[in-house]
Amino acid sequence: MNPDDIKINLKRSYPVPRGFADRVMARIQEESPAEASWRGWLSDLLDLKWEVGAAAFASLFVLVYSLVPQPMESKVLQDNSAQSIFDDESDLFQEVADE
Amino acid sequence: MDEPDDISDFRAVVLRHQENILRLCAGFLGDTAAEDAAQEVFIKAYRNLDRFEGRSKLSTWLYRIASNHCLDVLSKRKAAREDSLEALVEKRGDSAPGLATAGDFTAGFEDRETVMALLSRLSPDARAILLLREGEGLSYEELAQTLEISLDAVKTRLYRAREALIKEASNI
Repeated sequence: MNPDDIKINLKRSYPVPRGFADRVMARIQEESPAEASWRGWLSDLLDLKWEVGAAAFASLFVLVYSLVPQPMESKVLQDNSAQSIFDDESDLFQEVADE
Repeated sequence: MDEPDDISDFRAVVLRHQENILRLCAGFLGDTAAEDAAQEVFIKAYRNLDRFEGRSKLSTWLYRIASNHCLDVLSKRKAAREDSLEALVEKRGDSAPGLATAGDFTAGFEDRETVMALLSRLSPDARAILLLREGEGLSYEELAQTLEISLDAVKTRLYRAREALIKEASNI
């Protein structure tokens, strides 16, 4: 008999014990809770990948906007406008007082 | 083609592969020890998820962990005799199909319980390759990845395992 010719039957469906996966996950939590928690957190984060991506993009945009030099006119306005208004008003009061 | 596993959801991984891993563990160690062994397999897999590089299918990787774990258990307890041939013969008396007609083993090899009893008499390596090939239906390539041996070694080991099975059957 050629060993390659024999038909061996080892196939069968196996009755999975009820709650098997739950028991596995409970043991994982029990034996390495920190790691399980970290992986769970990562899993949650991956589930939220679109939201995380959008938030990261928005943060990057704000960061870049705050770092990029602003146009000269707005810078001048920002730096001097309040002081010049104050000076103008002081001059005006002084003129009224003189009169 | 099977959809790839999302390993970030480990509970889903367990649910998807639990039957195969339990069946393989039962083949090695017997039904009563299968659940504990399968739990250990999934816990080991979880702890080593970082090492899974995705070069093989996740199922192949799990089979490798399961085979190694069961071979370890077998080597520690020397012999798993839950499904021993003696017990089977005792249970069935002289009317065991396939065993009574020693000249023709075809019927015997198609009777799963008989094959399991014969397997328990083989070397762990022979048992492993027959369980993975005939029980789990792994291809030669998957066997090579699971057992971490070459394709040629797979063919040789499989041939010798079948040969040993026939020899065991003829010794009855």
